[in-house]
Amino acid sequence: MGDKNLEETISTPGRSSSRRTAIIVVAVVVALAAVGLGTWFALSRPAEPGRADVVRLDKHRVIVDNSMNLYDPLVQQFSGRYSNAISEKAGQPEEEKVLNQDRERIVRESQVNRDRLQQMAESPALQDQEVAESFKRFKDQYGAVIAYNDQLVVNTTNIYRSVGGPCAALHSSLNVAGESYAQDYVKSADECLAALGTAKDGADAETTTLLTAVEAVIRGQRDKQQEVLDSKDTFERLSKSTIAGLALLEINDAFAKAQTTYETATKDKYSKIIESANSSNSEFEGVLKKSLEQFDAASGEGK
Amino acid sequence: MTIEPVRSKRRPVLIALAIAVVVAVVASVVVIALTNFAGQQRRDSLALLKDERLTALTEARDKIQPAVNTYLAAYKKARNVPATREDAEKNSVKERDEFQQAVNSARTALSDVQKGYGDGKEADGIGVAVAQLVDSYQAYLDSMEGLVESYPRFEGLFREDAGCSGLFVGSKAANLRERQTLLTQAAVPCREAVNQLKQSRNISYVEFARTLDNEIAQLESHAETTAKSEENYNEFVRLKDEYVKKIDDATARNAPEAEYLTIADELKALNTRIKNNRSEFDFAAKRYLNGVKDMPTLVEDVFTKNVSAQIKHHDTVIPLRVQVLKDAIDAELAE
Repeated sequence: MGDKNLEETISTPGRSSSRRTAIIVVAVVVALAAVGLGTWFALSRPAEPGRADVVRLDKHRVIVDNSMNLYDPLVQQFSGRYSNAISEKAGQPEEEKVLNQDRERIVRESQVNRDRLQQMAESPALQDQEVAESFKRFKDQYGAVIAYNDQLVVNTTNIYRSVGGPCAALHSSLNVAGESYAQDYVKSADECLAALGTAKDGADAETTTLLTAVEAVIRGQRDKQQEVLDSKDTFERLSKSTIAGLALLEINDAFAKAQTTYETATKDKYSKIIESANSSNSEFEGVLKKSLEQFDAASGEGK
Repeated sequence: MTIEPVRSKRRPVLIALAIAVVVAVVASVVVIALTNFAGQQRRDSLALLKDERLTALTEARDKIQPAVNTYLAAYKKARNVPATREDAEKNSVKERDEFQQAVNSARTALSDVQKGYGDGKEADGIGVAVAQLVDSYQAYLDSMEGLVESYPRFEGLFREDAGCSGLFVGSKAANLRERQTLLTQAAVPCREAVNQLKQSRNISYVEFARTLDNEIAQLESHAETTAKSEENYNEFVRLKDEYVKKIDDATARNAPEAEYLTIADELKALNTRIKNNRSEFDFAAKRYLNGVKDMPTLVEDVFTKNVSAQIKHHDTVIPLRVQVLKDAIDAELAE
């Protein structure tokens, strides 16, 4: 309709004034469109942080906090399946399958949780100084929980791959009284030591300490058995193998010590991380609650 | 003539302006109304998702576990009559169907949740929560279907179906070589059934089948070692008799001392062989017995430990996923 009228005005004589009219019309339409768009924007996202932003941020806080509870069952599932695949020698494709399904699920979980924290960081409610500061602590602490679990998955993979794999045979399936024990032991120990060496890649301090301790124990035993092999006569062989046999008795103590050290260290580390996360969560919750109360008080006064 | 063009020029301009204004106003009103309408529609569908579809999903899941238990009990009862696997499957078909229906309803409820949010493909907070819930819920349904599907195979392992009970040959064999032969014979059909169980959709069966497979291999290897040791031992007894004869012979002949020394050296070597044979035998025999003794526990653990741990896992994860989705919807609906 409008277009037809415009054409008519243009077809009349006096071109300069009709061009001006056209420009005015266009300008008015553009201005109105801008007003329309502006209203739409104003309606859809208020510039000032509102009560809804605080409520939303609080819900996101609950979501992140709840999501942390998923790590335990997911990590347990992964480590159970991976340990079975390794110890029962299910083969490379099965191991890969567990890594791709159950480990990747945890990796994705962490990515989602990081995205959630990032989304919270963009909330308009953070224009409030106190909310922003409290959120920053929350984000740091929960980021640490996520990072801890990511590292846990790496550690679990490395430990099972080595200690649960080639090293497991050393003290379970070799016959100590057997003729070829020393030879078998040295061979298995070398495989185990090679696996322990690669397992340290990407491991954290606690896991590296554990792997190093296990490594030292196995290397000590291996060298003693090597001495048995290197013995020149039966008498020397007998005495060396007695020494090696006695050393073997201490191996369980050495392993138990390494394991206890590892478990205590990781447990302490994790409970500290969880404790800090929990306290940052309740603090953040309190700040958000206060902010909500302020909104409610303000709207109460308005009535 | 001079006024006319001016008039005719101004009037269309005014009309054009008025129309433009009206069109613009109408357009912006329509835009705002449409936005609000779409917004309202989205709010309605989110409220529906949260209040009705998620509740339906939870209720559908509550029916799965009882249906699983009813089926497992019905099958076991039918099988214990006694009946063949085929007959037991026939006689528990009602419970099997009811379980399948429960699973199908749960899958429908799940796809309703997915559809309730644009198939969960959207990458916002709700979309991600929907996708996570779908992943966990589906894993649960698959594992329960696998549990039911492979149960007759699992249950039949130590019956005549697969004949794994043939692995327990101890008392039937006159000597250890016979034990080894009987074991190897029983292991063939048993292994085949175990390998089929490895294809199950339930990981507890798969892991059990892997362990059992390795256990059987261990038993076979220990059976071979002990049989060999027994044969060696008989050989040693024969050799010992020979040496006794040799010494008697040497004494009768009043043989030179060098001959005695040679015999003594040979006897020493024989003793070492006997000692090593004994140690290998003890090692293998002990492990063989432990393997046989632990097998019932291995079977029992599948349900008492592994399946129940698996169910517990899902019982922890799925409600958390539902809660996260509900909170994500609440966040979106916040006013």
